[in-house]
Amino acid sequence: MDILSKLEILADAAKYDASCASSGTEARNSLKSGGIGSTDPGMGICHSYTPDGRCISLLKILLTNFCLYECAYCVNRTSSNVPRARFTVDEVATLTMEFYKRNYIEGLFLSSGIFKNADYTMEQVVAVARKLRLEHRFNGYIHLKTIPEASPELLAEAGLYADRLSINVELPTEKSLNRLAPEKNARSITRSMARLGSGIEEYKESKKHARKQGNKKLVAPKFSPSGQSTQMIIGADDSNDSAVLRKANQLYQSFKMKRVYYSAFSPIPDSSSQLPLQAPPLVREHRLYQADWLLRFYGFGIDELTETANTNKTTGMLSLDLDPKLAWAINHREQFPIDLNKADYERVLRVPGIGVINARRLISQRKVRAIRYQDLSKLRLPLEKIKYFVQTIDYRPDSVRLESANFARLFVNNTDQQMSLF
Amino acid sequence: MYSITANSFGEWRNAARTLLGAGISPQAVHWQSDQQAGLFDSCNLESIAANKQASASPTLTVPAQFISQAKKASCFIDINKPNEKWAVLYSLLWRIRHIDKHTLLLKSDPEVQALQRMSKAVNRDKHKMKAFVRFKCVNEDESQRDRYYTAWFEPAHAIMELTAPFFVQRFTSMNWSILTPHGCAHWNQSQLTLSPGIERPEIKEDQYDEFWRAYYCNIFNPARLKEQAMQSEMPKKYWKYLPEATCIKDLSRSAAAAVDNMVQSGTTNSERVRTSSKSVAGFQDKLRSRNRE
Repeated sequence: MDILSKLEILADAAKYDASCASSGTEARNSLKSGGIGSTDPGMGICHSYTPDGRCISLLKILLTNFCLYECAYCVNRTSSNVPRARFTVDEVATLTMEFYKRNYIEGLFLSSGIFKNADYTMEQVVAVARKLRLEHRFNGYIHLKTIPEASPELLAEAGLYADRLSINVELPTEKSLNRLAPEKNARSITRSMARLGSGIEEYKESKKHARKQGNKKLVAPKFSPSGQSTQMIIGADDSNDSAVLRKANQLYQSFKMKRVYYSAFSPIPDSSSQLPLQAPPLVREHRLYQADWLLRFYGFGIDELTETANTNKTTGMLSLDLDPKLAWAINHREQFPIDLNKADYERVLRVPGIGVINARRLISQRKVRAIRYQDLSKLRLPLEKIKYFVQTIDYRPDSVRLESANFARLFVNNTDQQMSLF
Repeated sequence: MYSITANSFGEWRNAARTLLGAGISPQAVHWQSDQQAGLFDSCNLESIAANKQASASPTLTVPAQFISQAKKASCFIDINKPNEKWAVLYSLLWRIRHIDKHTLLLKSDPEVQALQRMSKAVNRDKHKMKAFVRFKCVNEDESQRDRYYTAWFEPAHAIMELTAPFFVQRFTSMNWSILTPHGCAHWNQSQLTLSPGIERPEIKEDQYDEFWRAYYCNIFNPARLKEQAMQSEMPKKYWKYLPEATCIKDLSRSAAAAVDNMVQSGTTNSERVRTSSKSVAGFQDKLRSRNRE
């Protein structure tokens, strides 16, 4: 089979992994180190966007889509009728280099079906990264999907070359995993995540220590400087949003995950009879991402997001009509309006329509001059939304509105319009 | 009225230093660039310095944030008001110096917002250039070391010089030229050279463009079509640089049919392979029994 045909099959096979991030790793620069490639500790670069609105930052492919596992939600499971292909280590390395040199990509996200056994597969994946780093002197971004059952030695070597390692948790509960991915093992997934977590932590500590000692040599070998991430499939089992968020929160807490990706199970060719017929609405995935952000950057507690006032009492689901921050604010009207001239940063962040950047702007501005209502429009804040929730030196919202029983209805149409943007 | 010419951040800074030292207020300065010289006669900066007996050695201490934003704003191109940026920058400098050193914190002030808007626009332009420049190899038959890559790009602002270091640090062991209407950058694996802008040259397709398009078409998930989201990040004006852009129309148009096809195609029996291959069934059963423990 020629390389073009392999590329078609193995890109198609990789599209259900949501992550394409290339941000947050250490700074590398070929002018200093020689070779090809650079990374920025801040923002990654999206080199293209497909018509599904997703960014292409990395060459995201499988080494092979031959797979011995029978995961019902996966297009590459053993029983699937999709065409199969397998790249050689050299072929992936060359494609990565040639794509990179044309500035199509930031690097490689390599994953693989399980063939022969876990160690053999992982060894091949690591071999690609080793070749890129040592032979091609590639300094771009590498994300390796890690096989939980692979040996600790292989994980250590993967961490040496990769910017990020990830193991997919796949489903929110062990029960669902056993039912839909019978060859996967929840305990070995957890064990390997913990191993990655401690490797990442050790390397970080070692860097910190070396810096303190005046940039002395590191004691720990390099290990996945951009941390680890994972992915959960939404809608393939009957777990509700509350369960999904609790699982995510636990992953963030226990393993210091950089990201939990939520992937709404979408129709796949040749699907399994074990899956629900109906794919979940994409808005559900979007709401989960929003809740995830509130958890990580807005100081919301997991209980605040999953309390019954916020998720539907009987279903445990987030509202599809209202974003979770607005839903929370509507349910906690007694805490509003928030005085933008007095409230601390955390309180300002609670206002629906004020994000991290504008909260900081307001705080820095009010040190110089008190905030007036007009300032809000100058900062291009969404007045239609925030006017119910904030107070400035010359403005107080109409308290009758805030207390009205139909308050939530005011927002539903607006949010519908916004949704079409995503 | 003092007419001052500035074509770059360096020229503006020199002039601003002299003007500020001589206590000349922003209202008394008319800024112009070489393209329109002749409208007013440009003032001689040395004579200003000499005449006004500038308050000795005006060492300017201004917030670092101002300098970095001003450098970016200097690259801003507004065809209708080409020199407004110089006026805004000098006025802000004046205010920081004489009125309020925290002027930049006034986030809703029109001039602060203008500076922010310009530097943001330049930042965005830089970011898009880093993303959407596409190198084409012009001599694929040569050895890796001697291959030469070129790219044509039209940034909205004059950012070639500002963006060149990124490309040098990334494509270090390659020979390349990036050609733009506002300046070109050339790298031969050791030396960066800048040259004046040019008109659009003829650039051939690269053999890897076909592979890239194949990747692009296959990584797309037709079940999640969201064209607007794509276009807000990758506006049509950039499509001419992107070999993959020729696929967009077909992918979008055929998405619905592709999804229908998937949904219609029915389901597969999960025992399909297990019943015919003992080794697969054996492998899976071993793992399944372990998981039940």
